Amino acid sequence: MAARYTIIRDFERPDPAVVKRINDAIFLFAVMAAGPRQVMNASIKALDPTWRICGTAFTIRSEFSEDTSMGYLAAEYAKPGDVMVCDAGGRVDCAVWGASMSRGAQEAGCVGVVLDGLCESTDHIIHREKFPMFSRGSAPHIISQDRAGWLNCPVICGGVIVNPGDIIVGNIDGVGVIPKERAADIADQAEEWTKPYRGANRVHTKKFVEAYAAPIAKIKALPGIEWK
Amino acid sequence: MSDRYTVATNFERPEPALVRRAAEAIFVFSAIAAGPRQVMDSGIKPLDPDWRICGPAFTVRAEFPEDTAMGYLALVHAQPGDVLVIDAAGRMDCAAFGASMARGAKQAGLAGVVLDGLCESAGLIRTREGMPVFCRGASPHVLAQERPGWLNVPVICGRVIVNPGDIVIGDADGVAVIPLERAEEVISAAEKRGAPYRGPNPLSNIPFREGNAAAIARISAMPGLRWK
Repeated sequence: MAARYTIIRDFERPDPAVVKRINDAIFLFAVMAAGPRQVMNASIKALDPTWRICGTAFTIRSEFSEDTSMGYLAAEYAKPGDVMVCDAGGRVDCAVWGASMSRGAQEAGCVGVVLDGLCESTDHIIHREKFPMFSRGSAPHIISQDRAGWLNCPVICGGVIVNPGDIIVGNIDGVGVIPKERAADIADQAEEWTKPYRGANRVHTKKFVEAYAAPIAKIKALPGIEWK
Repeated sequence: MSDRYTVATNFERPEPALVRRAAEAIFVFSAIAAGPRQVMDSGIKPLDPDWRICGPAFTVRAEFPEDTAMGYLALVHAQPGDVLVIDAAGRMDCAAFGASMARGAKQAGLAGVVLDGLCESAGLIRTREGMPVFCRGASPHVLAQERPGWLNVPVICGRVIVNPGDIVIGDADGVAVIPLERAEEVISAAEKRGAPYRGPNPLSNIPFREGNAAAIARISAMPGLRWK
């Protein structure tokens, strides 16, 4: 049988300047520019609502979604600035990530973990490791660490395909995936939308109905509305 | 901004002989050989349990998953024998496929349709259109047909990444995806496992305890069993 599991230790990462531009733009504009299919399912949330991440995806996937082996291996090859993205198939009957693995990711210089599943030792991750973790929640038990899988192949996380090197952005609202081949375009668009919200005369210094006069006029002109 | 939506009208398909072998192999063995991450989640089922499909994936994805425009376009470019795989993001509040599209699929000679969402006019599709549709259920309304999207890019269907040209097989048990680059190996493994069930004296004619003697012996010898 041919080798079935590909372990890619290194891959092309996006220009750090583009990652920084995405990081500096307003989160929801970066996500909107990426498009609705690039936003993870809303069940994947930061364990601590103050966390915010932006980095390049380092992807992890086990053949058996309950298994943690590949997450252990990832700590050896991830690079500073990466976000570990672990496709645990959305399992919510056991944990697939623990505090020691978060420590591994942190020591590798990663900026966070996004997990399509549950994590264990939430208290440690929040209070001791203080390391950003976005997941579907938590559970007290990990059940397996003995199966093979893949590193840095395309994975699914929160209903979005994530390729290694895509830019992952996350905050209290959720997680977005910026495809690497569109990253520069998305950064341009996000910066353009961000501009009116920055500086001395920014949008939120004005009254809502004045700041949004144009879209309100457009909405008023929608066909089929009966005014009373 | 660069063009965001890739519409590939053609792609590399597997050899017809390989697709035929996949169709003839026992479905569960093909699914096992492909591996657990290649089986769609069990919410995706045929509208009629007698339906069985096998063919290369022609993938469809709309930016807004409720939109059917890309499905219409797909029916113009798909080739006989293809299985239309529509990534409707698992939406359960409206239909993303309808009877007219099933008719179009029939006229194009497609082998079937797999839809990560709901289908409209399920009764008509079952009784009149004669096109096997595998989906999450039925709904009476299609909402939109006006947004762009992609044809033949990697999509997600039932939590599996489907690439154009992958071999999609389905029956009453559900749907599995055989990656094109592993197809020969997976189908050979399925044929090998299926051989004892074929021929003049198939395994299914042998009494259970006798036919499974080796497996039963192995299970009985598992550590940790307390016999009473």
